[in-house]
Amino acid sequence: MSARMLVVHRRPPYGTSHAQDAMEAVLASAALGVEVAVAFVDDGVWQIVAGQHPGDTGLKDFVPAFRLLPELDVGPIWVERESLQRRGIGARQLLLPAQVIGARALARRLDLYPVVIEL
Amino acid sequence: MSTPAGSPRTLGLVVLSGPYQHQSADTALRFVRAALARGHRVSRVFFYADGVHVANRLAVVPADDRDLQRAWSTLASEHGVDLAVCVAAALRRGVIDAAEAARHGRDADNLAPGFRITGLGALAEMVRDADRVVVLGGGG
Repeated sequence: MSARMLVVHRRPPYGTSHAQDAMEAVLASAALGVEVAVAFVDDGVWQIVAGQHPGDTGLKDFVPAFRLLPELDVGPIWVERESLQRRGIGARQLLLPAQVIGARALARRLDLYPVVIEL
Repeated sequence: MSTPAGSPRTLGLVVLSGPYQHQSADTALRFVRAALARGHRVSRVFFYADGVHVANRLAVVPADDRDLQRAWSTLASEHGVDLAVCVAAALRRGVIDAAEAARHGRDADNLAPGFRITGLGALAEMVRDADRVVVLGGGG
C-alpha cells in the first residue's frame, strides 16, 4: 500500500499537452491525499521559468497552477541541476521555489517512489 | 516491499498515449493478460491524456489489424478489469458516455462497453491501493 507518487515533468511547456496533463494529475492527486513530489528535468525545466504568459498563445494559463504547488503541500519540488545548466537557466529565474538537485542524487530519490509518472 | 517475489500482487496500469500511433495500449493489454495469467490481480487500468481514445467504440479498424477497443472491452467482460477513463481528458477529446452527453447537450455518445468515465481521483485511489503501478506511454 502506498500513497506516494512522483510526477516527472520532462517535456517543454509548449507543443504538446504533456505539461498540462502532468500538472492536472499532480493537482488532483494532491487534493485527494496522495503524497506527491514533482521533478523537472530535461526540457521540462522550461515549464517553471518565470515570465511566461501562456494565455497569450490561446493556451490555458498554467503558471498559476505551478504557484499553487507549495500551498497544496506538493513536495519536494526538484529541478535537475544539469538540465538547468545545459539550457543556461539560473535557479533565480524559476517561478516557484524548487530544490536544485544533481542528476545522480535525483536518480536515487526516484527509488523512493513506488509510482513514477513521466509526462 | 514485504511481499515475497513471485507471490500475487495487485497491479494498476496507466495508459498515456493514443492507440495505433503509439503502442502503449497494445503493451498494456498484453501486460494485463500476462499478469492475470500468472495469478496477479489488476485492480484498474487508468486511461489518461490521448490514452482515452482507446475507449471510442466508433473506431473502425481494418480487418487485418488488431482492434484495440474491442480487445480491451473483451478483457473487461471476461476478467472484470476496471477500465477507468479520465473525464477531463476524455470529454475534451470527444470520448463521452450517455450521461455526460446528456449533461453537456451532445447528440451522441461513444464510450465502449467495459469502460467507465471517472475523475482523476481514480488514479489517486489506484496509486494508494496497488502494490505496483505500471505507467505506459507519454513523452512522445
